[in-house]
Amino acid sequence: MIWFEIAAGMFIDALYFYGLFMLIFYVAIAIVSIDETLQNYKKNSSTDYPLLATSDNSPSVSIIAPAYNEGVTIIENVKSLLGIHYSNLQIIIVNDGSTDNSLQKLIHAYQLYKVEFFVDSPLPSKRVRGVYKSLNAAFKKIVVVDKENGGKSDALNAGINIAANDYIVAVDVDCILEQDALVKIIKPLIDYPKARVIASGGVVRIANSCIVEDGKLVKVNLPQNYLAKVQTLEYLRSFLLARMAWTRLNGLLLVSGAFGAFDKDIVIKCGGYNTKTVGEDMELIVRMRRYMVDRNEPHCVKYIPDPLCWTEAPSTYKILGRQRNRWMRGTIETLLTHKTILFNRRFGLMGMASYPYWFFFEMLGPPIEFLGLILFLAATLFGLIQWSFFIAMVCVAITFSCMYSAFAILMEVLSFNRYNRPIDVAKLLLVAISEPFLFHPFVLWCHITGIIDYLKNKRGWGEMTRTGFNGKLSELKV
Amino acid sequence: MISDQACLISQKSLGALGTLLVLVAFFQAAGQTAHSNSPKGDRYIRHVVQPHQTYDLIARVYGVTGRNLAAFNNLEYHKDEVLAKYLTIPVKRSNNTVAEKRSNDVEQKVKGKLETSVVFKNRIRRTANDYFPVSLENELISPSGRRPIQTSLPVASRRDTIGFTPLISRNASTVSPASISTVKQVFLQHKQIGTVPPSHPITVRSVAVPSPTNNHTSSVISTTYKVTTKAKLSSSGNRRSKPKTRVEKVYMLVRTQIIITLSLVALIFSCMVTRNRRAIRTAKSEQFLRSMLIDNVTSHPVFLDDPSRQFHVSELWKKQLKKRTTRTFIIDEIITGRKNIKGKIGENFLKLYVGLKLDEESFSKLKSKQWNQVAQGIQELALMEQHHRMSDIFREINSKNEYVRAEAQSALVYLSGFRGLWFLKVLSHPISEWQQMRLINMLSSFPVSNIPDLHILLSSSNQSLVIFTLKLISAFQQRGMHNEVIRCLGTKNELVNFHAINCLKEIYNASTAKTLAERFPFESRRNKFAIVKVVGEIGDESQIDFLLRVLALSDNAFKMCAATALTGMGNKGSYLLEKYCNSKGDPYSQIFRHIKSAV
Repeated sequence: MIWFEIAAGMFIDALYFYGLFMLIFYVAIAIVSIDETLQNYKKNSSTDYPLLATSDNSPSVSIIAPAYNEGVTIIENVKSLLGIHYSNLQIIIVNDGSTDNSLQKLIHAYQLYKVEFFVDSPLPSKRVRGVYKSLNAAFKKIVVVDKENGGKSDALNAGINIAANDYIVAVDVDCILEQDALVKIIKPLIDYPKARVIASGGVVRIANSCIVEDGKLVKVNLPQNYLAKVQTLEYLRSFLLARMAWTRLNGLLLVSGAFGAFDKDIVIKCGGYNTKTVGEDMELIVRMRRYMVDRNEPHCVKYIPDPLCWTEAPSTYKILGRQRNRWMRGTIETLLTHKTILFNRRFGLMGMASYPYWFFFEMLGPPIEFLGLILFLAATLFGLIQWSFFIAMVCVAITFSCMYSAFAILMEVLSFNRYNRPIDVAKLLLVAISEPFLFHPFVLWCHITGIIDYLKNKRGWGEMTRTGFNGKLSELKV
Repeated sequence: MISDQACLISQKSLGALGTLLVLVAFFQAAGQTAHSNSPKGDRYIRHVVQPHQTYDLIARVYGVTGRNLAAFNNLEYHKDEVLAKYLTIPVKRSNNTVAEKRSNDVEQKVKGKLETSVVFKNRIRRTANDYFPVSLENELISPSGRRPIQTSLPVASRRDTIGFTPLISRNASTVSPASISTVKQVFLQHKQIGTVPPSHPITVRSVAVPSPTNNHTSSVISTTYKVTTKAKLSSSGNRRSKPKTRVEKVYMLVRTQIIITLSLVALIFSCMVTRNRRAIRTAKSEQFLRSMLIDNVTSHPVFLDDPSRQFHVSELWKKQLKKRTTRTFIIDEIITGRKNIKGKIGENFLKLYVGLKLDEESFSKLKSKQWNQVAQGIQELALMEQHHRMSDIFREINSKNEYVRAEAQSALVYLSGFRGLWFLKVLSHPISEWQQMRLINMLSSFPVSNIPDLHILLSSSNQSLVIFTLKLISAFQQRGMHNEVIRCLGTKNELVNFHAINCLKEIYNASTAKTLAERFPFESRRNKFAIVKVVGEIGDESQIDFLLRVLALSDNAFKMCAATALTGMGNKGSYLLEKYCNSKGDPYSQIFRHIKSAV
């Protein structure tokens, strides 16, 4: 019995330090993130971005936008990409075997014709059925690639094979980019002489309920849908209070798949996107970093705090569940594929802080939470724990969540202030209060199902539904 | 197609944090209830039985009967020595609240080891208590027989023990029940809620303390303390009461978090209100200032009639210039005006800038400790063409801050064109690609003259400097540097070689293509592509053999590159390419069709 007590005591202490460490870690990360955001603001307050867009010496960029059954929004989305002002630009739309009329719409709208194209394939991808270019000089930047369906990673690899420029920018075709998004994401790639910048990313925001005209974001509104509203808050927390800190520490393991820029040379050298995983964006960054470390080349991944990309968030529990399930599987797949990084000094801060953080807090966090909740509830129901104590602990979790969310909202108000109406801020604060009851348990359950699906070796993306910025529904099946 | 995993960070972490708190609490509670043998919720005194103690003796000390004591512990009553190791004393909760606090206080005080790291000791003691379920003697315990973590002994200072003097013996056998039953509960209650207690001797009831010298032989004692210093008790009474139980501690944390959250909410709304008010106020004042600026620049007599006259700063300007924000706004407006408006009006902006002594404001920023202020000051001085400040700007060329350095470099080039490049000779830091682009862009607006000696720069150990020099040679076609650039090809640095190859495209002569072709086997894959492309652009028919050799390589990318280059060799190149591709079949025929499609 005494051994049980000793073990229990040690376990308690381990958990105590785990919780304490996590709390300190989050507070520290938030502080560093804010500082880095502030520094970034100072650095770029007088940057002449138009120079990058117009100069002949600016780096050449290929935007790659995979599309699968995006017929509802494809024309508007491509229009948004065409609106980007950058002189040395190629826009590659990869039609990933759509079963709808996406390709026909594109051909018709942009006067495309099929060209003979020799596709050299340094990266694996499904067969390319054809490459299209426009007869109209106004659309000379566009290249449309029609290929067999193979998933997002496969489509991106096909796009990289076609890309003619030095840098590639992977973008979800349904995203709406800010006018200066491209120059802002490219600048970090060429503005750090100390090391080679292999990738860069920017902040992604929720576009639900925003007004989009001609592929441009005209007015920012807080989403009306509750789930989209909570995700807005989630994105604020994540991007404002975490990402920038990892940039400062050169430990960033993830650049958003919705909008990220990469050094094409390194992407090709390390094998491109992994088609076997559903977390291809994170996996690519980790692999690129491993590649650089293996060759002992100084490198870094940069992130900028500016909102660059607006995307439509799932607005139903069904779709959201699939998305979160997939994210969880992607995280596990990536972390386990590259487990050699864990506490490996060769990888510097990535091995000693960033990867362990993802491993212990992001991957193991949900199962620990789930198990803890079950045990705690059971113990309370069986009378082993007093209800007063149970309620007190629940209050701690809820108030901490509210406090953290309020802090993120404050940072948003002080920095970019996109939701500048007091009523919107009030709504966000109310969402912060309700989130632990209505949203978080659901997301936790999705993560658990994600783990179970991973263990069952499930690999699919699942079905996604998009409303589109003009309100029509589209069905996506992969 | 959203594949962003951003939200995992905040979402999971918050949940996990809550879970951890829950988990820790659960295991603690589980440990606490592991030996539960008494009604839940109540708290009792554990008495460690000493040799030769009987039920009656022990019971008398606590004011209960021996039979009740035995029954409470599920033991058979007898008058002999008690064999159990310890007994749980059925004392009511109301008494315990007092007794618990005093017991812990007294125990700590008597031990007299409180001056050093009490928190640490509490932690050690707590851990030991968790690992080895042997309770310290005669302390308050939960019914499970295990002392909960949160009921660890309160922190007391040596100062607290000064005013207390034990008035009765430690010998339990000599203590009469009457002597320990006269508790002044009022005093303790006062102390807990923070009011000043009465100054008179007090007696604590039901306080069990171990012996300060030997825990194993300690006996139950009742101790009376005499309050000798009113002030000391008052001060301790004024102290904020500390939570006693774990639940209270957790609620204290909750209260703290709620207070912080509410403060943040208040801050959010106050920021919004302040910002909105300021925006309205600023809009009005900016409108006014803008009109003032335009009036001065377009119609001020100094600017119109007699340029040599001194600009007189009116009282209105003086009043406006008192505010720092206004000065900043005016500088920004003047700079914008200067950038966008050319001619005489543009010149007037300069005069106004100097006339309002805003150049001194900009210059003062150079002395700032904040790097962004320094960078801004440099930028302002450069844009407002303050040539006489160049020496001050030059001092920042090797600043520790990369942004200050970059602004200083840009300022020098902006102010003096190619002559400003002499900073390159003393530069000890790398120049980013972005900065190189900025400088070349600035230089392109100046006539090409007074280019500094680039020979020295090409042999610099600063790699970025060499690359920048190669870009300069290329952008401004310094053909006289051809041989030096060729020499650069021999370096081990792949990037320098790459830029040298591309530079040669702009300053080539008859031998360049041949030289590049000869370098082909020794270069990296990336540079090989660059060589083939450049040869395709600058080569003549004599290079066709070289390109055909490249076309024959097994790498499809080289085939494609060489085929494209061959089409740049005129009719002969195209003819030979077609002939070669037709004779070889796929993938050459595909490549040829691709070339013909001119994608």
